[in-house]
Formats: sequence, C-alpha cells, structure tokens
Amino acid sequence: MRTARAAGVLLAVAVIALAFAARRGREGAAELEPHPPRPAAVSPPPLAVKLPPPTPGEEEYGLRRAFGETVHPAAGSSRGLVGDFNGDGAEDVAVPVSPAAGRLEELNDGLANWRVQDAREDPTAERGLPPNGRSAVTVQPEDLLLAVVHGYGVRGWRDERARQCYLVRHATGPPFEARPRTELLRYVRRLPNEPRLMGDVILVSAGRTPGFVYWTGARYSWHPLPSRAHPIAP
Amino acid sequence: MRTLRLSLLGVAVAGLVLPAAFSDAPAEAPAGFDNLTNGFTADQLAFDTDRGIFEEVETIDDGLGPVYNAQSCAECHQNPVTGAISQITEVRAGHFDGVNFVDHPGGSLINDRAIDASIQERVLGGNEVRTFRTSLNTLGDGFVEAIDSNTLVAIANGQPSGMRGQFIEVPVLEANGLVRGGRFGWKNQHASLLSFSADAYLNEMGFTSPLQPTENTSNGNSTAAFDTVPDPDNDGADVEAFARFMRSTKAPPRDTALAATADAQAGASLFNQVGCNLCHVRSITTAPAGTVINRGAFTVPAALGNKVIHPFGDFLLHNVGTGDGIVQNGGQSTRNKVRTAPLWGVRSRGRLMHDGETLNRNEAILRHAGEATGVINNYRNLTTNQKNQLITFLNSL
Repeated sequence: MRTARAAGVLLAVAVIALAFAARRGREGAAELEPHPPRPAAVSPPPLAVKLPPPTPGEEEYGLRRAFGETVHPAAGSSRGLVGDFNGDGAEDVAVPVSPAAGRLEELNDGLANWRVQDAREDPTAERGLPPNGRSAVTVQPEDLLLAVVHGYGVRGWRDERARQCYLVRHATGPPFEARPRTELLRYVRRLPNEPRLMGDVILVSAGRTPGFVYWTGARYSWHPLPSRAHPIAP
Repeated sequence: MRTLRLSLLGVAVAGLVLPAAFSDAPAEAPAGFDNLTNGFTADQLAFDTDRGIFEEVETIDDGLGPVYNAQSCAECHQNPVTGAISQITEVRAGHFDGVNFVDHPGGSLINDRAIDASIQERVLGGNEVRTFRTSLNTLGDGFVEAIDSNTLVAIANGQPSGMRGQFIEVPVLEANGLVRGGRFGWKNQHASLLSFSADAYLNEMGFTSPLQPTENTSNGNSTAAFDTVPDPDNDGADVEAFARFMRSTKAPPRDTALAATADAQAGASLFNQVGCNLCHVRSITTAPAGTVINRGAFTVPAALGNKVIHPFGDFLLHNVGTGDGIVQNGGQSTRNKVRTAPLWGVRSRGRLMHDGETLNRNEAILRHAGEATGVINNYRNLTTNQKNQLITFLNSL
C-alpha cells in the first residue's frame, strides 16, 4: 500500500517537473531564422502582347460589366481609347458615356461600385471632407463623362475580373487621343509643377487650352500642356 | 487497493490539469485609448515620463533640424491619444528610370521644414515619382515587435498564391545591422522599435543619435553650416525613451458599443466572407515571453509575450494597385508594394490609404486592385445593405 502511494506521489512530481520543463524550454530561446518564404505574388505581367483594337460590342460589354445599365456610350462621341492609363501593365479602356435616363440616383450612390471624379478638381484640396457615404462629385443628367475601366492581367479590360472603374467629368473633348506615357514625359519635364505620369495619357483640351488627362495614383486629373508640346496634337 | 486507485486518479488529474496550468495559453493584449501602460514599464509614472519625452517640443538649440518635418513625435502621432495617428503626411520622391527607382538627391524623404530658408528642401525636376505618406499609428507596436518573424512568414505562406504577401528582412541598427523581418513603416522598413525611433528622430526631427549619427542633407547638399549642435544631437537616451514608450502602449481598442450592434457583427462576418481577412489578418499571437528577438538585442518580456493582438493586418507587403513607386529597404521588387494597413484604430482616421487621398471607406475599398482584385469584386457583389454593414464593422475598429 505504501509502495503504491509512493509511486503515485513520484508520478505526480514527475508530471509537475515535465510541465515546468516544457514551459522553461521556450524561455530564452532566440527567434529562429525565418525559413525562406515562398516567392511573393507576381503582379499582373506588363503588356507583352499587342491586343486587338476594341470593337463597339466589346466596349459596350465592358461598360455593362463595370457600370451595369447606368451609362451608355455617348451619342456622336468618339470611340473608346485603350492604353495602360494607370500604369499597372494591364490594358485599360476609356469611353465617353452619358448617364442613362432615370439612373442618376444609382450613379451617385455613395456605395456604388465606381467612383465619380472631376478631372479639374482636387477633392483633397477642399477644406471640408465630403459628407459620409456621399461622393463629393455628382453626375448630372447632361454630363458627358469619361468611363474608365482598369484592366486586369494579360487580357486587360476584357478580363471578367476587370471591374475597377471610374466616371470622370471634364475628361472628354478634342482631340481625345491616347498617348504613351513615354511620349509625354519629355514635355511634362519642362513643367514647373511636373505631374507624375504613372501611365498613358489622354489628350483632351479644356476650351482652347490643350492638355491631357492622367492617373495620379488616386484619381484622374487634367493638366495643361506646355505650348511647345502642341506638335504632338494633331 | 482503494488507495492505489485514488493515487492513480490523482496522477491522472494532475496530468490533465498541470500542463494546462503551466502552459502559456495566450492572453488578450490590453487595449485602450487611455494613456495607461500595458505593463511593460515598471509603473505608470515611468510611462508618463516617457510619454512626456515623446511629446516634448524640440528647438534648434536642442538639435532640431537643420531639415526636419516636426518638432515632436506627438506632432504626427497624437490622435486620439499620444502615440496614435494624425492627418499629417510626409513627402517622398525620386525617379523611375524604366527599370529601377532612383532616390531623389539626398534621399526619397523631402523634409517639409528647415531651420533656414536657404536649405529648404523641395522636389527637384526630373523626380516624377512622388507620394504622400500618412502618419502611422504606433500604439500597440510593442506587441507587433514581439511577433516572431516566422509567424509573419507563416501568414504569407497561408495566403493564396496570387495574394501572397512579401516578407522582407531589414537591418536592426542596434544589432550591428543584422537583419530581421520588417514590420514597421509603410514599406516595412524597420523591424525594431529602437531602429524605428532612431530613424524617425533623424529623418522627421533632424536629431542625430548613436544609431543614426549623420545629419541629413538638403536635397543632397550639406547642411553642416547650419548645424549648431555637435553630433550626435542626442546621446541615445531619447531614442530609448521613444522605444520604451511605444513598447508600453496598449493596442488600439474596438468601439465595443458599435461592435456589439447587429450590423457590425454582420459586417464582421462579411469581412471574412469577402476575403478582406486574408491580408487584414484579425488575430496574431506574439512570441512567448523570454524569446530573444531583434537579433539578440531585445528579450520579449511577460507584458508583451504570448499575447493575442487584433491588428487586422499581416505586416507584409502587397501590390494592391496603390503602390507609391518608392523603394526603401526592401529592394526594387517592393517598388509598387505597401504594407497592409493594420485596421486597428481605423475609426480615428478620416484620410485613408497610404497617401491620405481617399476620404471614405467605400472609396478606400474600391481603390484596392492588383492582388486584391478578387476580394474587391466579392465586395462589389454585396448588396447596399451588406456594404453598409461591412463599413459599420470597419467603423468599429
């Protein structure tokens, strides 16, 4: 009987000692050298293949995927332009559009799947913040807007996943031509307030002032061209 | 026989209970916007003293400048309590030569202030890569420092291949430049709070210290003629106080009243359902107390060890289409990547994303692209009511 009791006590002591040992074993240990992490995700590859020009049907489908039935290609306006406007390596599309009748509320909904911007306004320059949940810039019935759908992967804006999209006021008008970023760089470097060109640009005049619409990293903005850059306009 | 049975039963119970009693079941990290210590410092008085140094307004005679951004740490890390965030941004710039990012002359940070107008920094022509960077929260950073680097690697390895975060290793200044997994700053450019403090003291306030002994230039030109205080401006005591203060802060707390609402709880489920939690990781457990980190320079104390934090971030770099084009410690592959913004305390922020250029939650979500495309498309498929619930949840963080 005494032996059994002693064995029990010994076993209990052993369990306590093991618990202590398990706990102490972790203390004082150095952080281990991390195992080499697996390769990081690769961004969508840059435009490697020349994609065919868009057909009107493709443009309309791309618009519908992004904006539903809220906009339609503007009557009498130019066809869409393609280029890598946000500089992520995937082809984007930009199409002049008009708001569909009766869809203004949906277009201006603060929780819509697109962002409404004005190329000639800097929302962060405003003193006050916009009211919660409401877009600072709103679409009006007569607006002519530039609808931009950012591309994804090698298929660009044609990819079913390409749904990041913008409606931009004051971003359409003659000559409405896409130009590669590299072509504009030599002009903008002469500007005192050189804009950061992340991607290709769209030449758009504001009245008689030539300029271009470009992606700032957060929004589409319009910038005047220096006078000596006129030769690049047709 | 009965005694033997009882003894065996006792041993069995001890076997079950004792390991649990002695095992280090992780505990919740203390959270609060309350200016109280998390227990890292010996007492509240020590915490308040370090907080005072963090809030101290420096002058030229103290060593401020010659080029700088702010006169005190708390100028940028203040809302709603010292150590948190502010609306203040800093400017970074440089040039992309088609292959690599090249620092602006004098470094990518363009200081907004100088002690003499003749050395005011400005972005020079030909440096077309520019960005604003919002001030980051430092509350709870002691817990972040105490995360084992392997935990961050494990998080990365658990992410889908198209969204896998990039883990980088960066020098720990107090360990002679030996490297550790980066976790602080928009580019994960620091791994230790002492390194981060010394860096910020120099680059934001113009104070040299033993870990950062060389004054900044003004657009690459020497500022020595304006530097009236012999270097190092500080013997390192301030840097240690800053680090000690951050290590002592509690994690940003939830808005418990809002979090308890049905909408916020539904939003919390949607947050996972959509996939936001893949990068905005809800919970991370710090390394056990006693673990030696920062390449031997710091031992995780009981106050910070084995604690569960809820940063809603993974402390990894991702390309979500918002990359600022700047390279710091992580090499050219990080050019268009930023650290997942930890969302703890995000309710105190009005200007969102790395540049503060996004002003509401929905727009911030929609601004994500790249690696986040699939997740954001899931968000786009939510109803208006569900989006509101998800945003309510975000507003509870």
